[in-house]
Order: sequence, then C-alpha cells, then structure tokens
Amino acid sequence: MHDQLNNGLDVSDGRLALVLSAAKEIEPGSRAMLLLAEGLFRLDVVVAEDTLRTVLRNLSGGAIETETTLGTVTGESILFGDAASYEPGRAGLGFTITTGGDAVWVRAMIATLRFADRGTVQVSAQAILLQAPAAQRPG
Amino acid sequence: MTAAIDRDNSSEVTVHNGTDVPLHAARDLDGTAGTMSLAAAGATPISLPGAGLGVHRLHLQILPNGREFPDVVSLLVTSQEGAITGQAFVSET
Repeated sequence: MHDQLNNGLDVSDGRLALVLSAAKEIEPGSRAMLLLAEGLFRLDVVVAEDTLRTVLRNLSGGAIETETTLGTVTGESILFGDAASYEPGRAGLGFTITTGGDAVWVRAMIATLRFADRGTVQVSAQAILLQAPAAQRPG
Repeated sequence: MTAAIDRDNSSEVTVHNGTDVPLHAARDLDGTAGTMSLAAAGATPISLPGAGLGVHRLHLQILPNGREFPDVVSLLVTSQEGAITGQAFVSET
C-alpha cells in the first residue's frame, strides 16, 4: 500500500498543477517508493547511515532534466526540547519532464526524521507539479 | 498546529487556521483517507487513537484558497506511546 495524497491545484493562468505528498518509515539500507506520479515519474529513496539517496525513475517516455541547485535546500531548522534526537534533515529536488510538445516542472522537498528506538527513518516529501507556460514548452 | 497527549497515550492534534477563509484538506489517518474543512479563524481538533501499541500517523494536505492562503501545506504527524512528532512542508503555488 502506498499512502500518498494527490490533489489538483487552481493556478490563475489555467495551467495544470498538482500536489503530491507522502511519508514512508523505512529501515536503513532499504529502498522505498516515496512519490508516484502516474505516467510521469516515480521517486524512490534509500537511507544509508547519514545519507539520503534518491532514485528518479522516468515513466513518461520523454526526457527528464534535473536541476542540481536544489540539492541542498538551505534554511532554518528550529528544534524544541528533544527534537534534536530525531536528527531532522531535508533536501530538495527539481526537474523538468518534457514529453512531445509539453513540459512539466517538478519541485520536491524531502525531509527525514530518525526514530532511534524503532531503528527506522521516516522520509516525507511534498512535490508540486506545474505545467510549463506555453512559451516555454518545446516546439 | 498544536498537540496534546492524554494519560492513556491518546493524542489530539489541533490545526489552527489563522486566515479569514475556510480551508479544505485531504486527510489520511492510519491509512483511512478522507477530506476535512478547517474553519476560518478557527481551531480544528483531530484525535489520534491511543489504545493498543503501535504507531499512528496523520497526514494532512491543506489546499490553497485564493489570495488569503496561496500555499500548499502538507503536515505529517506520527505518534507512539506518548511521543508525537510532526513535519510540515509549505510551498507557494
């Protein structure tokens, strides 16, 4: 079973937009599907020690161009009480899927929490999928 | 979002909608999916069961509502035996 929530978003200029979010609790070393966009992509994750590895599978039949600048999302981490014991971490991922005359921008945020007592890591993600403006779609 | 844990280890998560518009959310509580509304300028409690051992998970996906709330918010809460953790993602649409 894959517990993912999907919803369409209203964008002012009428482009197609979608939000996906999900969480998985996995044992270190195991691989799990985190997000699935049918016909577009599947995002798997593997947690090994202090490293989060993402595996992006192209389901579109088109091309995927990844962005490297989102790999380390910077920002503030605010921890209260015992929160530090969960070793929260986060990362970002951006890519564009081009199929035929259409293109979709994808921006994903991934976060981790380590549950030491259970020996697991919870990996969560939210992705926004947005159809590229007509002017930026392939001719 | 705030959380309270009772003596029987049940917990209640309260989502506070600080905007002047109602918000709609998709919800998944321990694998049971549904939808819910968050009243404008109000607080909406959600009970997480405490009976029995095990992990309970709440996943909320709060959707934008016009200029008052242009963001998408995903909230992911995990509770087990009196401990509760939460993560939130916020993206502007």
